Amino acid sequence: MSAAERLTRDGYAGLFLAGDASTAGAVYAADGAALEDIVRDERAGDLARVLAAEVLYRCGDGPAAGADVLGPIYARALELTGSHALSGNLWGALWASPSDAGPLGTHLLAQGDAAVPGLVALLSDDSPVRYEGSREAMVGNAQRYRVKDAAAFFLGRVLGHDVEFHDDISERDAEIDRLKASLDG
Amino acid sequence: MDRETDRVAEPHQQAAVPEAGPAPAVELGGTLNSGSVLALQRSAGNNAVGSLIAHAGADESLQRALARTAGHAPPEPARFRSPALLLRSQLRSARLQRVVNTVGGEWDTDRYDLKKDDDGTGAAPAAQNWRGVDITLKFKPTIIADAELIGLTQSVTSVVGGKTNLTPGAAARPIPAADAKATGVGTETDEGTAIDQSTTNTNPIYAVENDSSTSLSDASTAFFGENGWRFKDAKGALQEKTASLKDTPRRSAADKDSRQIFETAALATKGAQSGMYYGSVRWGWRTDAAGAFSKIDLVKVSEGAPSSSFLKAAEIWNASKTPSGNKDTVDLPIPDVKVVSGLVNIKSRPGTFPLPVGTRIVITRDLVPPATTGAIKVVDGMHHGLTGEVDAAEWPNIKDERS
Repeated sequence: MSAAERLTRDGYAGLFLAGDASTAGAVYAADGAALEDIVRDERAGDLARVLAAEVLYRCGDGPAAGADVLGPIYARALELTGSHALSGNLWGALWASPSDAGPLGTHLLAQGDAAVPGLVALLSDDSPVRYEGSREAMVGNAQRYRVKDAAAFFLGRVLGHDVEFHDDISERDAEIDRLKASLDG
Repeated sequence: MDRETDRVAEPHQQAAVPEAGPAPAVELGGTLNSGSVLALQRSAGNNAVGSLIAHAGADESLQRALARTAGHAPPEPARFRSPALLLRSQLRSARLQRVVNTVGGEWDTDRYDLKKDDDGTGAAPAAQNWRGVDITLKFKPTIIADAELIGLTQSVTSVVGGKTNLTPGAAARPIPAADAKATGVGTETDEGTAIDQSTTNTNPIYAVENDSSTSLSDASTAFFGENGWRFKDAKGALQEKTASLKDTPRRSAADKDSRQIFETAALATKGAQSGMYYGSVRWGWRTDAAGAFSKIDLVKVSEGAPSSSFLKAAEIWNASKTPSGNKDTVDLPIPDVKVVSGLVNIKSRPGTFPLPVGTRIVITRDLVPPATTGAIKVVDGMHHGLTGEVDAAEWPNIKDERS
């Protein structure tokens, strides 16, 4: 089994959230060099690339690839969250707990402007962001976030724009439209 | 209700840690009498009456009556019941089984519903296999309780597809495999059990939402539930409020071999009994290898101090910092619970009672030679609240709960 196959088989939960059975350390020990290649390989698949980057962040000094590579990868990871290939928990609770961007959100923000084009492309993505667990899911799911809401939240953080949260979906969409207009200008 | 129907359906986890806080203050108008005992029996059940034995003074007839009511005396032989009476009794039990009594109060649910292919916000794609429950859990403090605030705190054990599967918050503070103990259900252990709280919250009380909390007695947020209380105010008027907890736990890819199992404990966080646990209950859901999806009945885990699994998770919580923000967490009380592993007779005022193997106790005075006895207090089970002396010869039969 290739390193990329093992990453996608184990998924984020198997790599990092299985307690002592988490496999990230073993994957890093066995295929550390291969992980760098996976991060750079556009044919490797978005999920494998972001998981490779996460293992390198957790077990090493972080990916050697620059923000030009990692920015688009982390934006794609947010898109994958809409199909629940990744859990909403990994992005924090957004406006409900702005100080916590979660592991994926933290690494996305670290890419700065390089993540912007990928995030802008998600501002029309209505897919739901679903949270798992108990207390954490109560917080996240109560907001009924969509991928485009999360994209707007992180764009606001990267660009220093004040993007407000609205309970009402139509008001939320209007806020996103205003953000789009400000980016077009 | 029949006290046997609210016993632990799944054998509960045993482990180690001491009960904090003073002994229960019995508020029965100052002296015990048949009326006051009856009131406690009605509100908290027969077992709770056992906690009054120590308050019976020199009245030996009262001591005997209390011991009999609490189950310290042999049960009467079963009576014959006609099929019709039996059916009626079973129907009554089925209706009442949802209510669970522990020493400090009564547990019940306003809602407790299985949710399939529902992600907590509504319908979700069947292929994602979401499973969970919606619950509003209530704890009504009863006659033993004397607290200006009572919070509900809980641990969670999560398994998806046969493997421990934590949330980012729980992943920061799980019971490690090396410290895990069997739960008594098949080959299951309490590995991965963690105090259930969000990644930023420093307070372990479920209904408190506060990322800079420094006190267990901080205010609750209604979205998650409410703190309760039961105390007499400055004018002597009784103030009572039921505590509650609202939860909608969910996991995806959970169609087989998955579970979320919760142990919720009621804890006095302010007032005369601050630091005292009033008992704990288990609830949750599971799917088996064939995909059968079932709700775990609301059952009593402990009469007083929560299970060893909960207390181990609490010990780890206390030592941890929030995974987001790296802030100190507010500590939960952790009684150093021991367990009776062999012959132990407790010499109490009403008499000498053999404690069943497995009885959970805390040591209130260690055995230090030349003394020939040590002192203990029972913190769970039918003898909850009983205090007394144990002879040196039997002292080695008191072991650490997780040893």
